[in-house]
Amino acid sequence: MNIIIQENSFSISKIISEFSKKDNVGAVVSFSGYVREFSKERQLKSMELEHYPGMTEKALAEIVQSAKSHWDIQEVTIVHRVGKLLPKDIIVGVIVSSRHRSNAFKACEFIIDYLKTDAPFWKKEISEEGETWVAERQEDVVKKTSWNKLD
Amino acid sequence: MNLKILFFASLREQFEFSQKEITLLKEVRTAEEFLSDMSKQSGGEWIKLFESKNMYKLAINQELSSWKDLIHEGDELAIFPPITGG
Repeated sequence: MNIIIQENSFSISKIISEFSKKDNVGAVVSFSGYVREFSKERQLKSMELEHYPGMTEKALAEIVQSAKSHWDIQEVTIVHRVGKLLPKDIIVGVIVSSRHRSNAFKACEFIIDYLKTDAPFWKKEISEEGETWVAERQEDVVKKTSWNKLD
Repeated sequence: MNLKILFFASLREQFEFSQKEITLLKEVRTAEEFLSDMSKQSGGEWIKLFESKNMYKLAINQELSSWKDLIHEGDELAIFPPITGG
C-alpha cells in the first residue's frame, strides 16, 4: 500500500503503467478526481485543500486494510493533493490492481467512497463572490453507508 | 487537566488558531464535558461551538470519536466540520 499526500500534481497514467508491470496483474482500476470549473453556478478561481497530517494517513491506511479484507486485491496507491489547486487540476487518484477485474472495481469504489467521508480533508472554493468551505454532500454519506451490508 | 486541541477548516478560522495546549481548571470525563467546561471557562466562540457541537466531528488521538467518548490527560482532541475530500 502506498499513501501519498502532496502539494504537487501527479500522473495517474504513470502509476497505472507501473502497476501493470507487476507479477500476475490481471486488472488495474483507477479513480481520478478533478477540480471543476463551476460550483453552484459560480466560476471557480481556485481551491484550497486542507488536511489533518497524521490522522489522514492513518485513516486512509485503515480504509485500504478494510478493502483488502473484503476483496482479493494486490496493490493499492492513493495520492491526494493538498494546498492550492486550480480548475481542471487533479485532486485525488486511487489505483487498485488485482488478478480479476471485479475485485479491483469494487475495492476502488469502496476506497473512494470511504475517503470522501472518513479521511480528514477539507475543501475551500475561491470565486469572484468570495471564499466558501465546501459542505458535506448527503449523497456521499448515503454512498458510504451502502457498503455497510458487507460487514 | 492538559489537552492538545486542534481545529481545522472553518473552525480554525473561527477560533483563529490551529492548535493549542489547553489546561482545564478541573478534570472532565468526556469530550462533551470538555466543551461545556471550556464554554464556561473561556466563553465566546466556545459557547457557540458547545451549542452547535452536533454539526462538527471529533477525533480523539486521531480516531473519529463521539462527544460522549472518554478523554484522558494529554489526549489530542481535533474538532472539525464534516470531511469534504476526494
